Amino acid sequence: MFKPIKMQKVRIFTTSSALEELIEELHEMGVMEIEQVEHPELNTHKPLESHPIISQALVRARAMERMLPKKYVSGKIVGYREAIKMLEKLSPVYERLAKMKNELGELEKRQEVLEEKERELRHFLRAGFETKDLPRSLDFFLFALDEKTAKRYLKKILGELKESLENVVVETRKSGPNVVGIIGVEKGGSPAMLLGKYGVEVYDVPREGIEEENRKVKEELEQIKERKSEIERALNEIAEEHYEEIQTIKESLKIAADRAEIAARFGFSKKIVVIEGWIVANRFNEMEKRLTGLLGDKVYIEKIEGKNPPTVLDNPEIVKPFEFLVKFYSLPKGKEFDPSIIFAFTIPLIYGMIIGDVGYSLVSILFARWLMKKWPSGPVYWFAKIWEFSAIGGIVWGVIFDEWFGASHAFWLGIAEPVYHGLHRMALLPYLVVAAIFMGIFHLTIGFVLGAMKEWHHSKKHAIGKISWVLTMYGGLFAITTYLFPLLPQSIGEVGVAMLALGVAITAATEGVAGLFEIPGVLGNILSYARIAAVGVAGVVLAELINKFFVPSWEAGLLNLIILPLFIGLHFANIVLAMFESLVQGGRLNLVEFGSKFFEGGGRAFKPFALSPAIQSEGGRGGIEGASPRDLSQRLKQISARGVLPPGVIKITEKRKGALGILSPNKLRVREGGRGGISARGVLPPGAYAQKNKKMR
Amino acid sequence: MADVGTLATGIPASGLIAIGAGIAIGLGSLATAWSQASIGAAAMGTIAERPELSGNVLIWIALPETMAVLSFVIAIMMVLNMGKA
Repeated sequence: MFKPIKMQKVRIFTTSSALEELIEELHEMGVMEIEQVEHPELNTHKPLESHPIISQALVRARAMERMLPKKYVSGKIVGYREAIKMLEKLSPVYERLAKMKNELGELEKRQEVLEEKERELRHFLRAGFETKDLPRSLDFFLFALDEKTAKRYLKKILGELKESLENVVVETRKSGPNVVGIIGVEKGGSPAMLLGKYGVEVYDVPREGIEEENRKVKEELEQIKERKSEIERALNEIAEEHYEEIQTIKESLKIAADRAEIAARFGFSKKIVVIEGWIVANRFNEMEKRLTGLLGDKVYIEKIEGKNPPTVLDNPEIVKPFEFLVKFYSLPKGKEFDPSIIFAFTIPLIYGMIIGDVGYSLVSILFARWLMKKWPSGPVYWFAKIWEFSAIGGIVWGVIFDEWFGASHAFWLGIAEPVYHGLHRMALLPYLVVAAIFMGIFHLTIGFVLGAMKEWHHSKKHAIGKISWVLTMYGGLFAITTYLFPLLPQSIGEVGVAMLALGVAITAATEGVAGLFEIPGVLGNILSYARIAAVGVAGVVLAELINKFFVPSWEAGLLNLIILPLFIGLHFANIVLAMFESLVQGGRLNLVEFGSKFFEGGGRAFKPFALSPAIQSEGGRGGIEGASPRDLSQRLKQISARGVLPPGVIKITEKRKGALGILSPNKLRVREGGRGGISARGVLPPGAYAQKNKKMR
Repeated sequence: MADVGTLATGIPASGLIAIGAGIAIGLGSLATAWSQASIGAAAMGTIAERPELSGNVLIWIALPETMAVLSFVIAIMMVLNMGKA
């Protein structure tokens, strides 16, 4: 909870003959992140021999899948040899598909050309041009100008035509807002270049007449459409017959390709293969038992020393939103302190103190819930979750400050004598600033203590240096409150000065003179907490102004029709502003001022070598775009049946337009999806795919 | 007895303190805005190329706000001393 899950680096030795089986087992277990083995005597960066064949076959299977209309069926998983055999059997289908796809492409190109021609011919027909009886002694061309081009260039074009071509004949007519024209030039001449300068295309005149040409174009278009639907019907029939099979081939080959490729990270000698990587420490025995159970003495596993382990955070469900915030900033290193749980207390506390309004907090809960419904996964969801959680702090502080939509409860209830007197932030601003600064000192103390704990194992001197800051901070605090603001007795002031001097001396001794230059920085950090009061009061002033000018009343009569929407809109805008500001400022105090005392970050996420069916682990995205809820349901049930999820986890509510499945370790929700498709996204615990499934072979 | 500032400007001491507090917070906020403008522009460029840095970038954007907060603290201290002037 306070630290990421303990990881263990392991080394596996196996024989070349057992390698394929071992890779398969590791892939199914999904518990090990495999690292590149580097050793001068080992042959490395070499995938399995089967890799080129599998990759090639996978490319073909994917091509076949793309050529067919999408269907939401899921294939079985078979061994790659069988998948390749299946693919070979489908060769005639592939040839047929390729031909059909080519033809379809050609037809589409031709259709585009004809549709363009049809549009142009329509202009000439509308203008009443007839070309059947034109003299054969000249070559004739048609052209069309849109309204804008005609206005700007028509005169210029006509002038240039007459200048550059001999015996040119031009006639133009209006066709709606456009201008169409016919140009006659001496045999062999062409106005194409000249008109091309203005981006105008010219067309040969249909000698059989425009109407006849138009009829022919329409006829050909009809034929193209008919042929296209024939091909599409045929594609549908092929999909109906072979899609599931193609899915089986594709998915099986994808898994096989991953397995063949991972071998590039292994080290090979003549007979022995070495594999290194990280696993969750407490799964070592389980892994050892399974591998030796399967391969006997062909496999040997040992624990080895490793630097820079990957990170798997381990926090209770309620802390997950704050874990997201930590990850959003920077993932803790594998052995570092994970501040998520502290953030779960301090962010709502600071957020609540800034927003400090019961009404605003209640609305922000509703708003956050709406956001979570609209974006059931991803950053918006997690931020909304933080808002929802932190609003509890806002309610508590709102009661303390007696702020209900920027006014006292007595104001809204219309009572002269309030039920209780809150601490009005505007009136008590100086005290609030002091309280915020005290809170900062306390917060930073925790930060320095955590920093000292972190440093203790590396350097006791630096750990003591961190603690000296605590002495300096409190010494300075007692001295200032005694001598600048005579609030404390002289004796405490003297103790304060002594603590300050001792703190500074220890800092100088442990961190050198450079450490002393940090004093203004720490002072700045402490004063930075005054933002809690500053940003909070800014929100209060805005709310009070809204209440001063825009509170609906009986006296306002019909004017309420304007006042009420303004009142609601302005308060809502202020709530959204307060929500953002409070989160950004609260987050900043935690990550910069507090976090910088102990948090390093820059860790890397644990990425086990695991199966990745439609839904991937560790926040990955997957799913079936465009699938109906039923398709999604079936797909997820198939995945579940493979042992990925415990039975009974999947519950799907079907919605009218589409669905979005959200998968978490505990629950699955299916929601209406946006942008015309659905996808299943979710977070699965590491090793969620670890269920044994012999069918995968 | 009136102080030098009041004698020179004819403005009461409390008024001068209020103007000083206003200048303090005003200049601090302008400095913050100026820094945030440059950081913001660079930050958007960074996010466009490496979206995974969004978290750090948000913090960098919020960093110069310390100047505005410190000006606020100064202004508050000045206003608190207004009564004594």
